[in-house]
Amino acid sequence: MNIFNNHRTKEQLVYTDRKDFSFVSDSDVYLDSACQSLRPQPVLDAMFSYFQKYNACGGRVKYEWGKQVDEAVEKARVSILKRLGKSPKEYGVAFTLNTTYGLNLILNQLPGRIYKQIVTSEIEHNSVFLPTMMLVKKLGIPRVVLKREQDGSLNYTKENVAQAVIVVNATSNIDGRTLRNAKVLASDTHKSGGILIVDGAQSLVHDTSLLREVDFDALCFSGHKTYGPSLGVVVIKKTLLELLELSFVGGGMVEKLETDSFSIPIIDPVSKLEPGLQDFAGIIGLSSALDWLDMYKPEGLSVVEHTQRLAQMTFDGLSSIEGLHLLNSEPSSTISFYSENVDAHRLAIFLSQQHIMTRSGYFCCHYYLQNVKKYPPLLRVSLGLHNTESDIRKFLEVTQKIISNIK
Amino acid sequence: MFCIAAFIVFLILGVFSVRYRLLAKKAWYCVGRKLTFRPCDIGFREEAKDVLVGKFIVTWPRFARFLDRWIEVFATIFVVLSVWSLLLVLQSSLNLFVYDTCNPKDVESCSLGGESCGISSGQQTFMAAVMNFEVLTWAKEEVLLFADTISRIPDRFKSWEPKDYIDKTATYYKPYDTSKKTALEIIDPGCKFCGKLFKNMKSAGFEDLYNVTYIPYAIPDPNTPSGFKFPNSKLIISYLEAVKKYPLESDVPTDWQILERLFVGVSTNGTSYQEDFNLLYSEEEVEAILVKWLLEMGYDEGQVNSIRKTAHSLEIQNKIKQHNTIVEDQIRTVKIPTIMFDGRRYDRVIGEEKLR
Ligand SMILES: Cc1ncc(COP(=O)(O)O)c(C=O)c1O
Repeated sequence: MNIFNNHRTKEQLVYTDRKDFSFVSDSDVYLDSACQSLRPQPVLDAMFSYFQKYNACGGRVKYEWGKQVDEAVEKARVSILKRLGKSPKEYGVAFTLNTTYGLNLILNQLPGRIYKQIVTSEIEHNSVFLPTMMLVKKLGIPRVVLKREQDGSLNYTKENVAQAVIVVNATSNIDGRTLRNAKVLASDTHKSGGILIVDGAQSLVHDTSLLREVDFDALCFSGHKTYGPSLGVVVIKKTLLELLELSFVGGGMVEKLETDSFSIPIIDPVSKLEPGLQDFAGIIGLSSALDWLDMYKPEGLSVVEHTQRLAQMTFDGLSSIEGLHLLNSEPSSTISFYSENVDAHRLAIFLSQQHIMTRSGYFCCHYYLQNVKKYPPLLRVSLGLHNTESDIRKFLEVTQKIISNIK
Repeated sequence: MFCIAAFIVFLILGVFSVRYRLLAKKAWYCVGRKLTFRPCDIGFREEAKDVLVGKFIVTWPRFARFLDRWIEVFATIFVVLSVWSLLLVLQSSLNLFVYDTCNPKDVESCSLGGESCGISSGQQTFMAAVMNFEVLTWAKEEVLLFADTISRIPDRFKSWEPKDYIDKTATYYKPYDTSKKTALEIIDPGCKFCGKLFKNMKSAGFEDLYNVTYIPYAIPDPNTPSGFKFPNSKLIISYLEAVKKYPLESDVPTDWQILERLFVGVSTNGTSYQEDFNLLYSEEEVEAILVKWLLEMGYDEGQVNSIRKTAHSLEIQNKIKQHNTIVEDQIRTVKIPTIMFDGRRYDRVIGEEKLR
């Protein structure tokens, strides 16, 4: 069975312009952007420029290079808040290692006695699933694991959110489903004295309109899934920041220091989450990635349109291959599936031999995929802005061939 | 089996790159079944197999499926062959250490053994054993040979003293000098490497530094009509022993003179006498030449006749047997020339620089 009825000439097979990813070889098809997106040239240039032109420490020096760094870091914080439609008065932005680290940083420093329960959902990444387990031990309160609907909404009752620390993702790394009821969830939670911490690891690259409307207390995401360098970001309400009980401390965060005591500057509360020197090149690279995301027009389309087009193509192509079971009910830039004929790990290795890079297994969502759903290992393709139609065509064709050849 | 096969391959490739060293480590864990399956990951065995199959699944699907089905069998064969060759390498190394040749059964087949003539043990090769349906006998012989090899290890550490093996009739190239140490050679007059060693010794002036003597030995070979590797060696040796009983007033004893003519002399054909004796001449012709040489050396007809008789006498044959026992049971060399001096022993031609 050929999933493409139209006959293509050799010329048509030639990859279209990858523009800012021109360094990617035409023979390589990278389909693991949900793990780490490729960095476009402008991001690389921005980092290179920092290294070459003003490679200084930020936040502590008086010379010109350092001031340039401070400006760039400030600009990065503003860009992030702008992208999420949040006000710098209400929210602070802190830089960490990655989403996992950001979530742990917040959860580990939450004060006791305020919250009655910890709530999470079954489709969470281990970065959420495990730290929430640890919190049970630390705060001595129960943990509730709720279901998520196929459309991504959290299935909860008023009791579930009462005085709760809710930690859920806004976009799933399994099938891209989003937390559709995030807005009401936030307001219900707040009404009953809880907080909503959002795992936004997969969210910032896509349509952020949902997040803009959500009154979250904190959101963590990773630069490396957002076309930026390896970096974590915590966007957090200043009110929550104040509540946090310090446990990681060090350089760059004190105002006054005595032999046995110190104080944090009131005007810069985010420094509570930023002990030690920051990854300035990373921050500058991320800032440039966000600017780039606003401007980039692959094949004349907006970022969202381009992604939707490739997602639709992938979804349609995979749906028509016999013996494949898709977890997605609708197209998404992240699609997971399994085949009746070939184990997903094998398929991933076979694809990799054809220079097609995909993920196999349970993508660190074992609880849901393995324990609850009892799926066999899955194969995941996650699209990025470097991908072209020819990438998708090649992927579909090769997958189809492998599946029929292995029988 | 697959993990073991992969371990062997990656271990070898690991010499060249870190990537393979890491894979070898993984394969090793897989062999020991210590591999922990991280939930985000898959087993090494499957991964390595699939990488192989994946190379062909799109372009050569039939071959890929074949590989997929039979890979364990291939791996098993590969491991058996690898272990076999490893054992062979170990055995050859041990042989090289003990006998100075990797193959004591067929010395000439081992280029590492240096220049020498092998003393065949008469054992058949594995292939020959298979053809003759005597694999069991072959295996038994192998085990015995191996045990023998092990028993010889101490020989390598021992100090070799010529005096332990020389008898009263031994002659020296130059008159015996008590101020010099003794060197002993075991030589077969037919072995060209013994000739070569002789020439090296002469050009190094070795005979001026040591009292050089020898034990003549005709390498046996049950597969030839004469029963010897070089057909006329036995006859020549008989004459070497016989002339010792009829010394002449000369600087160089006449047995040494015979050896010198044999090793260095050139016949009327333009080739060396040694070669001619080995390839051209019958026993009678060789004897005639020896007689001619004896006359040239200064023996009269009567003495020559006595020498001829003595050479064929039981006494000389017994003497030769005694020598053979020394060579085979005491010195236990498997290839000659063997030369011992200064406590050391070499079973091959050695260069002038070592002889100086
Ligand atoms: C939904 C989700 N949350 C959290 C994470 C963890 O991100 P990081 O590894 O950058 O900490 C991931 C990573 O894939 C993810 O997809």
